[in-house]
Amino acid sequence: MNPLRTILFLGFITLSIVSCKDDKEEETPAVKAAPKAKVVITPVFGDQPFSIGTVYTTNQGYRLRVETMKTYMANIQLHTFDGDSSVMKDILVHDFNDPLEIASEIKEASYTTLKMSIGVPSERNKDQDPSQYANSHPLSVQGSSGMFWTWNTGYIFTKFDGRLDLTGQEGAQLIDPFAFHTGEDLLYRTIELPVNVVAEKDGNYTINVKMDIKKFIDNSNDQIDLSVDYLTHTVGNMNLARRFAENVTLSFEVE
Amino acid sequence: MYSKVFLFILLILAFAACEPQQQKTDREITIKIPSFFPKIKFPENNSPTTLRIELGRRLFFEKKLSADETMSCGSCHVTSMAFTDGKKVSEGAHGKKGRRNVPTLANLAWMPRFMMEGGVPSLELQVLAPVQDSIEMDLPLHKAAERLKSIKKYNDLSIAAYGKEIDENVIMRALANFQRTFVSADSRFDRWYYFKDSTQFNESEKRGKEIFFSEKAACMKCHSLPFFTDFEYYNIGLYKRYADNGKERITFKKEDIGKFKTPTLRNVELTSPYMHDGSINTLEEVIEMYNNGGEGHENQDFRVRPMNWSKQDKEDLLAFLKTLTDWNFVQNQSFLPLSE
Repeated sequence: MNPLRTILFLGFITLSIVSCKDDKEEETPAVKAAPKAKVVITPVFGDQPFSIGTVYTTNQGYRLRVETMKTYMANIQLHTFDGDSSVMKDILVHDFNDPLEIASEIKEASYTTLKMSIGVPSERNKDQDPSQYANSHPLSVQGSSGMFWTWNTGYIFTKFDGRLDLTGQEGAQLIDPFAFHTGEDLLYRTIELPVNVVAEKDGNYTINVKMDIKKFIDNSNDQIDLSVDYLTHTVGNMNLARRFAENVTLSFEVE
Repeated sequence: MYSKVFLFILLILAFAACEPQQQKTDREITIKIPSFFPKIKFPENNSPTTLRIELGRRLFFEKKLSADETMSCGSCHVTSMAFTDGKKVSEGAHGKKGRRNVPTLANLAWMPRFMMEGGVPSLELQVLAPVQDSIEMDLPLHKAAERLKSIKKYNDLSIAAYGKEIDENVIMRALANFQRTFVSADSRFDRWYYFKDSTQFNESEKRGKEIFFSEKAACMKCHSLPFFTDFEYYNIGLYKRYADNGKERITFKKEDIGKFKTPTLRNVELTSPYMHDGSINTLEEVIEMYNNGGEGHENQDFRVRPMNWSKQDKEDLLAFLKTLTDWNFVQNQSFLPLSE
């Protein structure tokens, strides 16, 4: 055998063996995903599911049909006991004809509090130009449609209105209007709810929050008598707007 | 031979037809203001240019900015009436009645805040109020923008003036840009007071001017020079009980009930009826109201008190107020709709 051929043949075999070396040793372990959290806020009316257009009865016996229930929510965050936090959403506006779902990646941590604010933070509220935002943004002209006071530049934080029947009789028409349109920096409120989420890699966590719309009116803190106090656009009746904003704050509960 | 000539002519015509349409070119302009007015502070992103003003002018008279396409800004702000409409309160789209008297638009470029209670910080943002208000033009501005996007002339102008297709932001800026050109400073008073033209005033007007600027009447304390407004808010004692609380609506302070921004008196002869609610029909009645000293509201400004003016005093004061009319302003062709 030609020695040169032999050397070339052996070299080829050697290279082949080396190149066929199993890759398994170099495989990196799979990267685990950041934990994900979802906050679901479901509107209810007392012990009944809530929907726009349905007639409900208040504790005082008034029948009420909600036509609008929209609100701005800001700075939705999960907080740990020692002050660390994960921001889930900075600002949104939601029509509570449907539950609200906020999903986001969060940091690995043990969370004890869900914080969220009703309204638009002051630095983004007064004297701001909504046309600076793209139409998809909740603070844009389109995004804030019906939720922006043009004559007193600022956002309407909560819009809750509809019709009432003060007789409470089944079948009676719901004629009388009610409207609670609150805004202004003075009425920006932050809610803190206890949670227990130990967020680990690859974990998915859902926090179910109930928003009881009945408590907007019938709250142990303050019962609003709709036969007397049925109208505030904040302007003209700041006192009622303040009472309503407090009641809204107290209507949330983690399930 | 003829066919070659024909072909040659056809080619020339074809080339001529294909030549791109002359694009409008924009250029910065200086708004003419008198020496006795301060400089205008323009927003950074909305300095005046020829095309921005043209776009604003077209939009000002564009009825597509109202829900039922029956109204433009110019429907209530009529140039010949110093941009008012002579009505107690205006009717909006769908015939809905407004709540307040239409204000004049003279010298808006210097106004620090807008609306009668001062709730709006810029002329650009002020555009949102009449367009979106359900008792005025009743059209969400993004819907107005959608309507205008389909109109080539608006898109072309918008791109040339603001570098983008027409949208809410462009509508607001263009309308503000046009309105900043509404400079009124050429009344007989201006010629007499600032240019010392003594032929401008008769004896009655001179006496009226003395009353107006007197410490006793103190009209000029709020209707101060050069704009005949100090842009501040006062309760003048129009009512003992106000249906419209004015500035209190935004401050929530009791001491602001019944306070409204001082309106300019420039062109006041043409802006009847008067007061925030259009409740006083004539200037004679306004003078009488001040002569009587107001209704005595708890927030009434201390300077509004009984004046004991004689019949002659009141006539002289009226004569003086009529010297504040700027006929060149209300007849300015640049403030009328553009002919196509």
